[in-house]
Amino acid sequence: MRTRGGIALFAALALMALIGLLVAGAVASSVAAQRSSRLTVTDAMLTAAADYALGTVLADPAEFRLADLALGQAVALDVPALDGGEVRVVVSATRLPGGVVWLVANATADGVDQGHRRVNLVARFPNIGALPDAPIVARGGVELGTNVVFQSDTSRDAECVRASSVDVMVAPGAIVTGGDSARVAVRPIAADTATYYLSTSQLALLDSGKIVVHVRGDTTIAGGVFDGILIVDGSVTITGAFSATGMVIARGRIVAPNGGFALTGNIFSFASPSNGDPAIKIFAGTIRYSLCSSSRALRHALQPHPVKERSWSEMF
Amino acid sequence: MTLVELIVAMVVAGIVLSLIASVSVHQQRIYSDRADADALSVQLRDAAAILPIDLRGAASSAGDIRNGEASDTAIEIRATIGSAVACDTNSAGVVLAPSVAGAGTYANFLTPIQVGDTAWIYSAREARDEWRPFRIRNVSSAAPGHCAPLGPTLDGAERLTSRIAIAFDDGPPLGEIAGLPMRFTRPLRYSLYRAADGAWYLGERDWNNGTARFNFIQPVAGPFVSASQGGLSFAYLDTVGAPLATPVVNSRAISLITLVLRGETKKVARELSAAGPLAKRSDSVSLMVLLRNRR
Repeated sequence: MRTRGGIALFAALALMALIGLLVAGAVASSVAAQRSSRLTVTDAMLTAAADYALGTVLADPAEFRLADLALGQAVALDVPALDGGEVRVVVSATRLPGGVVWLVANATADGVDQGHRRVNLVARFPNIGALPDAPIVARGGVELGTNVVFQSDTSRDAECVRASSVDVMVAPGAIVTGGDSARVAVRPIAADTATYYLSTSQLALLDSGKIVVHVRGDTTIAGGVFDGILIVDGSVTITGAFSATGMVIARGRIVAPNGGFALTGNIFSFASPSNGDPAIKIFAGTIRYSLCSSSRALRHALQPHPVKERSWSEMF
Repeated sequence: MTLVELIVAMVVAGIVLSLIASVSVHQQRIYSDRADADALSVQLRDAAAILPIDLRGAASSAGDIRNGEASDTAIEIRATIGSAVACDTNSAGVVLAPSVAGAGTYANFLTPIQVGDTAWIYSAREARDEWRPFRIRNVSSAAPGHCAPLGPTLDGAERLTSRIAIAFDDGPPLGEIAGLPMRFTRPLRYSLYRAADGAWYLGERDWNNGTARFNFIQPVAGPFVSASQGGLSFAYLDTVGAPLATPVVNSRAISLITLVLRGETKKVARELSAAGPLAKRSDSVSLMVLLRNRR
């Protein structure tokens, strides 16, 4: 039997090889295009994730305790990731002088399409007025008992090392009695509502704060502990042991006739000096001037915002 | 095999091979067209990835976009090339915090700072927001170490990293600068230009502080179609979305920049052309860049 030659096998193999090459080329092309698209998507996701993380931190400063940041020390914040979970974001926050917060979001994508993006945001707690360099500020007179003790701030925060130059600051015409060792200064700014954070714009900002307690009339405090900013539209009477950290601000008189009053921060009375009674009368207690405590209370009360013009910056 | 069989086999084989060759040629053309289209797409995507990074960081309200230099085919901006926190001061001037990896860094530079660049210092100790510009007179290195008490607290690795010291022509009091945020800017110009090969590219010219002129233009992406065909077109909108006439006279009003990049394949598309046979395939990308630092 004679063997008959054929070309079917050869033709089939050649065709398959050719088709294989074409398919391989098409696959390579589409893979390259797909990879390019994925990288674009990854880039967009990284940017979005970093922006989202910074926005989340700034939108809820209480949750991330921005007001409590120690000066100059970076703190890593745990920010929930965007849905999907392919991008990890670490946010670092550092408080700088002047209520400035330096935020850096570092977004990274792992896997085949690795990527990395860093975004920096400079935000700031609003500055609604300088803190006075005296723990007691009054528009009217001040009467201090012999058992009122003034102490210095023990904070190690470099921004708070400024020691109080005076213990009591009053407006011109006001008189300070008692407290023989107290350092007294008479300054015109003690007659200005802005010094007391009682101007309309200051009050509007403070009233929106979470730890600001605003009493719309007179109040009597029997005792306890307070941390934050207490604003009283009327007078304040402290009858028991009361420890306050932050700022106590009253439009009327502040009277602590029984002792047991301990303050770390500032106490303000805008009571008019015309009626003869002292604006602040403290029988006994401890007054510690603390720039840190008062500025921290202000930070808690105010919402930080990106600074204008150059707040955002890419970090490569 | 008889002669008849041989002829029939050759005819059949010829037909089959012709069909295969025809299919192969079509496939090859499709592959070539696809590759060409992909290359164009990559160029468009490159431009779309690069341009927004510089544009969205521009502080238009602070004059980062030069008046009259925001046109429909070009834009000149002050690009942010670095950010840092002032760490300390020494005899050379202001010492910047070191640049490290990760989120905990207090400095980062896209390109080294040069004499003539502008440093913007945030005046945090004043009630109002203000970035004050200072021309950099000298750049040097500073030994590793701690920052001043008001500056950031550096950890172990950061304290071992060398730092940059800069001096200003007429700077702020050095005693008040530790802990302040800083930005560094340098002029940068993007435009569509025709290169020596006759093609149109998106080009970038960065400022040369030595010659006080822009450097020669360098291609960033392309080729795209010509300027008259809309290879690159910018449009500028203000805060209420109203378009601004180009070139923009008052660039401080710019709030949003839209840009369109158009390109076409290098070769005519033989299979995958919507415009008919033997036409180049076109593609475009359109972007809206909201300026993050517009106010």
